[in-house]
Amino acid sequence: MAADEEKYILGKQGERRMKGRTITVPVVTGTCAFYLGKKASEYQSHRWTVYLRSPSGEDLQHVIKKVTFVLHESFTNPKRDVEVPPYELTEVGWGEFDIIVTVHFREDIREAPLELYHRLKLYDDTGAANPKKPVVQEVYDEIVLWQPTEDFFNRYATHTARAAPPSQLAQFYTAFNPEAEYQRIQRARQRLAQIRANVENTAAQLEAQEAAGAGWAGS
Amino acid sequence: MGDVKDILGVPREGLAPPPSKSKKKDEPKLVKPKGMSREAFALLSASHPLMPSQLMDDIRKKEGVAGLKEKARRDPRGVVTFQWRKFSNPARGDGLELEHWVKCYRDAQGRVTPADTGEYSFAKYNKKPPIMRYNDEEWKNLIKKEPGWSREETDYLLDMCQRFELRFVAIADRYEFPGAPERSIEDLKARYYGVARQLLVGREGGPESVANNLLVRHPFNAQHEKERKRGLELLMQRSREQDEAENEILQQAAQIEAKRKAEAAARKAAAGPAAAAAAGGSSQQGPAAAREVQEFRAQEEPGVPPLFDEEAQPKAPDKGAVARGQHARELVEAVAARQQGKAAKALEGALAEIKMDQFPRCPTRAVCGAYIALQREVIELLELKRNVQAKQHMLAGMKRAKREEDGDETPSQKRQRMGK
Repeated sequence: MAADEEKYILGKQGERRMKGRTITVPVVTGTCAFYLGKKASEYQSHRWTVYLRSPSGEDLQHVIKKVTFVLHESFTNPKRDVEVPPYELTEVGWGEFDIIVTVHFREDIREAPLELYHRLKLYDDTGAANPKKPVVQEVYDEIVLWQPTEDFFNRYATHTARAAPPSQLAQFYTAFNPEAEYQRIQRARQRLAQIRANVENTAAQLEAQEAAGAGWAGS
Repeated sequence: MGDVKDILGVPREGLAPPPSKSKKKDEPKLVKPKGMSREAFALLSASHPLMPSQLMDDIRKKEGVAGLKEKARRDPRGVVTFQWRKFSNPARGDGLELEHWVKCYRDAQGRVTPADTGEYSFAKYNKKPPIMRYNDEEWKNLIKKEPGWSREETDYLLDMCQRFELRFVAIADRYEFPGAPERSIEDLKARYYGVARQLLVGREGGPESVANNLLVRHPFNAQHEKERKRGLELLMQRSREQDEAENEILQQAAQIEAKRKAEAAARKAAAGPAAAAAAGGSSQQGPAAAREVQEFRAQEEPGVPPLFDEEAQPKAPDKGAVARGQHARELVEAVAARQQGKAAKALEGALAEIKMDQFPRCPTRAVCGAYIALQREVIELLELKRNVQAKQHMLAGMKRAKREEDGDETPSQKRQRMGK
């Protein structure tokens, strides 16, 4: 059995934490905005929903205790808590602003709440407004839990994933493909490496020219 | 004739004159505010009311000034008059009195006061350097007794310094002390600065507090001065031929250096092209063969921190819970912001060219690492390109210079042409 100092470190409250280990929780913050069409007024042109979900449709309650959405101050009670998934909040309004999505973790994770930011998008890039087609903006991020507590780590290891409660907005969700993006970036880097090799070649030739050219004078 | 009348607008017989301006309404009359000039007022019109009275409010600054035209005529001090008066210059020692014109004001009662009171305005430019003098005590205790410098001669020297304000050229020229040998400027300077330094250090009590003073920091070095002046003399007197001979020697030295460098570079190039040819050949087969591109794994490895720093090296987060995408995005933006001016634009352009200007949509561990590394590689490549370009410019310049030289001019002819 490895010595305890190699596996654990102590946290601020004296709790045991897993040294050098990481738990990653991918999440997606999104907004889905519907133009109200005929029913739109000057101050209520859209009905929109802000939400937090797992990109794989997994239930996140084993990590998240509650999600707080902080809206623009012009909304009454701008701080809205959602304790039960789906972590969604629907409102009507007319303006685009930044929503603070605060994730509160389960007790045994012993971490301060994490703030994510999401810009509410009401109008798409063409500027057209169709009551039937919502304007969806989703942002993928990963919550990185570095050196998690022993309790949570063990609980997580034995946790079986299950599906999140279904949402009305599921049909509008977007897909994410991290593997494809990674390959794309790597291909670009390989092309860059190629160009760099050529440039370094040219540089070496110039060096030789420079040294030789200096010897031409007067001889 | 009839056309002429038509042109002039003279009414034909029986016809009424063309409808006159009586139909047009006259523009409402504007009242010219007092103090506004006629020309300025003429620019105003009622169709664009500008409230000329409001314009005037800005111009009316002082109380008692009615407007533009009425300047401050009455200076409270009175009317300006000039008087021929005697004056003395406090900078003079002999009390000479001269006369000059003085600007004065004559007020209502007839009293006359000069415009500038106070001492003669040029007296303040009479600055003299402070010369320290010793008393008998200090002479006995502080001043080193230099052989050949009697007390009287040292006093005489200090008097001369005071009189000529430390202009040693003049002092040396007029230096005449009975019984003293010929003193060069360096001798006089050495003695004076030596005395001054000893006095300064002695009065302060120790060298530490005055260590910053120039006298202490850089003591006068007569030998150095003599050599410096001699060197300058030689330079002035060198003939044209000597100059040319020297230049030739320098050129030959440069050639020998260059030959040596060329040999070294040739040796490197002989080793280099062999390796470069091998890489170039394999690169035609496939991009992976030429250069290894670092891989990033999506899986978290135990013991390896999950985030990345600017060099795409693993880095531990500051807090227990962070958002990876947020962190990576801030990092990338910080690196881009550090690029200056042209480099910043070049970076943007290069990323846009390979369609990597947007931050990735799925910031997983692998994607973050790869993107940060990509940014770093683009920056390095751009720098490399800049260096190569600079080198190309320099080589072109060198070639141009060589061409000029290899023409008909010798270096001395070129100097003549350039007016040396």
